[in-house]
Amino acid sequence: MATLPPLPDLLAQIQAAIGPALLPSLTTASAGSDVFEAYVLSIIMDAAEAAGATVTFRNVDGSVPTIFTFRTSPGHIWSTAQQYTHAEIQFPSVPLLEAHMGVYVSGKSGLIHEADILVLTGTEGQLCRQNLVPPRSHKSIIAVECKFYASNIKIGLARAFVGLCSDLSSRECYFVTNATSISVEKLLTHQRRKWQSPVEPGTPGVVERFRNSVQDTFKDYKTMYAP
Amino acid sequence: MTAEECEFAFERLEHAMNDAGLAWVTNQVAENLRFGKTRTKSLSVRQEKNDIWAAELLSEAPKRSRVTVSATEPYTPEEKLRMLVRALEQTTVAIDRMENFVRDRLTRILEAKNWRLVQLVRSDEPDRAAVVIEANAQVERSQNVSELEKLLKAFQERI
Repeated sequence: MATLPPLPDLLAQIQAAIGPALLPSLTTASAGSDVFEAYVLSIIMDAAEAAGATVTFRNVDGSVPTIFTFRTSPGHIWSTAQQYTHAEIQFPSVPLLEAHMGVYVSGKSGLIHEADILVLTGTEGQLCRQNLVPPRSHKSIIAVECKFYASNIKIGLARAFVGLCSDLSSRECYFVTNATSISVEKLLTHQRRKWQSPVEPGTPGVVERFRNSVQDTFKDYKTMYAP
Repeated sequence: MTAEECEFAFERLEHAMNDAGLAWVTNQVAENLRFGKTRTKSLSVRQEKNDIWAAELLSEAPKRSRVTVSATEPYTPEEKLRMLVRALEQTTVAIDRMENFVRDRLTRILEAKNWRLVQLVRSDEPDRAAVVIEANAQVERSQNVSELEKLLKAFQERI
């Protein structure tokens, strides 16, 4: 068995290894959140494919992208400030769905909220782009609040999510985080809200659970249109 | 590792992370440490005034009962160090794996075979460059991440 180096040596080695291992832009908290949101969207795409969908990508002008531009701070679904990309999810014999990152969505009260990830009907997406209005939450089947935290997440984030869910009428609202917090989990469970944590590549069981849950939502959507 | 060694290691690692531009990570950890860990406590309390009055009428001695309340207590030096190491892992190893996952999925999806890159744009921070995930994996950085992962694993065995 190899002997471990003395503690100061090990710490010096770690210190030297941090810089080269870092994503260059990861010097702000928001950069971590951006990668996390893209990761969660990828899991949703995965679930859609597993449920039998064909996934393609489109830019806001309808073109097929080779450079995918996703917004990670909220913006309007119709915005042409950049060639923003969204995914199109097509199940056989079922109306098209669209998956967007960082878009505004209007709630039951008429207030406009932010959704980190929103899966909505294609007709609603089209309507919004044509009329420059945010999508209505009841036309969405999945809304996801993504939280990337290096350390434990705070209870306030869960409280805000509970408030958000009370105004959104998406079929499913998920609170997805890479971090853990017993208080957050207790509150969301008590409030009967869907949460998944810690969602990260090192916890395949949790990722699988989230994927299955999303897959169930797609299954329900498909069933609505079954002959 | 003794409590003193944990404190020494925490300080060194925190310093190294700040130097590498991860002050936002060490700040998040510090905030959690300040709050402490949540625990439930069992307390013995006297009955409410109305209950005591009722008990007096029935000539019974006021009863005490046990209630459970939430409280916080400080993290131990070992817990503090483990929290910092996990935070470092999340921002290096986990982020690299997430990037790879995004890359793999996009490549697998039929129409995305010829994709070049993903840019994650944040309009609320116009001065910050977009986070970019390129279609071709950055092999060198992934190797560096694996190296750091090994070191952190060895370090965790020491705690």
